[in-house]
Amino acid sequence: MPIFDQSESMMFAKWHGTDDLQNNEEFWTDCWEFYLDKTVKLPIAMSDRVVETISSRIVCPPHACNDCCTTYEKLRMTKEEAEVMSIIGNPDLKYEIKGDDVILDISGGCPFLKDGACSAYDKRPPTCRLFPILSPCQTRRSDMSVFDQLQMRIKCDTSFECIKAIIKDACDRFDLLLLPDLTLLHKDGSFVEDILEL
Amino acid sequence: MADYDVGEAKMFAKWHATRNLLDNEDFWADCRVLLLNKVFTLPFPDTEANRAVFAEACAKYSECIVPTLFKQVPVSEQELQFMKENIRSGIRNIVRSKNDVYLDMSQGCPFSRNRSCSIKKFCPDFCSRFPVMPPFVSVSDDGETFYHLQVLACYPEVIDVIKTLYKMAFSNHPEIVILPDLSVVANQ
Ligand code: SF4
Ligand code: SF4
Repeated sequence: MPIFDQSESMMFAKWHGTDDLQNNEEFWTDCWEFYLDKTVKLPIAMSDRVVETISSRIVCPPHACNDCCTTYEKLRMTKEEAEVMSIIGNPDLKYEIKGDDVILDISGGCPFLKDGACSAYDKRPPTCRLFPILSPCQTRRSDMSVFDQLQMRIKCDTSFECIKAIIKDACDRFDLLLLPDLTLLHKDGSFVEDILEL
Repeated sequence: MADYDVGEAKMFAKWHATRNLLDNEDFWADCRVLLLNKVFTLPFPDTEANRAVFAEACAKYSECIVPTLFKQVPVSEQELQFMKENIRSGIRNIVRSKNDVYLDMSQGCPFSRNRSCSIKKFCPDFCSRFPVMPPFVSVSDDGETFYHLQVLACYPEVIDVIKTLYKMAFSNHPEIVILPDLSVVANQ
């Protein structure tokens, strides 16, 4: 049995039995209420083009949600990116060098977050620039090959509208079925893998 | 977002638009086919009486299918002692790993004769309870422990018992919604 968390259970209790959820604005209002701060797996393989298209729609100003700055324990970047931010050799910062990567300790909040704003806004690494696009999830296709599946966090109006637009568009173009936990299925019950390949 | 297996996804695709599944016999007929061989964590306590209903429903199946489904059968030290005292031929498939003891079934069960159990009175609890599985333990916000009945739907009769239990418990509760994978959610 799939394990539904509390918000998914509430959404199923309310919306099970309703067809065409993607065109139901009341359903989307509930999604905003129940799924804020949740990670959504989207049926799209992550690629540079996908990331570029989405991130161009979601531009966080310096005083944005600060979620990437306060939610995580570690911030990974390349050595070059760490140099640009003057991290390496800075005695006030806790970081580890692993191969070509630098991992900055941001448990308890990122040290670059000052008065609710990123003090390194123009130099911040891609992990911060691309947020709420998260690291991809390794997903198995039906032929058993693995692909990087796009994952996004519902964090703000813009990220929510972006996720909603992707889902609505996929449902309309490929005649997919949307479930109350935002899972997309083909109408015969088979899994939707990468909509860009449909 | 939950992870669905193939059968569950098919059930959701077919039944997502039907609100009242409890009273839909076509739905239950589909469950008997598409949800077979899944483990169900049920919203009922793991009691002797609840386990007995499943045992009774599956009594007509005299063959033991445990070794075909599991490579290991967990046993407690007490059960093992009881088995040792009563089984003269000895127990050759005991495996110990860290704090666990189990009977190795990877080569089949040494006590299976013509696919029936030859040590019925002394077999491990896991076997005698089957298709009821060890309970799923949850702890509520106020610290109360609940042992949920878990059952493997290895026979269609298991689904029939779930249907009977659901009908008895939820027929007069419109706030309870049965989902196509037999999950139960409450509309508050
Ligand atoms: S570098 Fe800036 S945007 Fe990135 S986590 Fe730190 S404060 Fe936030
Ligand atoms: S001990 Fe008996 S019931 Fe258990 S697996 Fe072996 S044959 Fe089956």
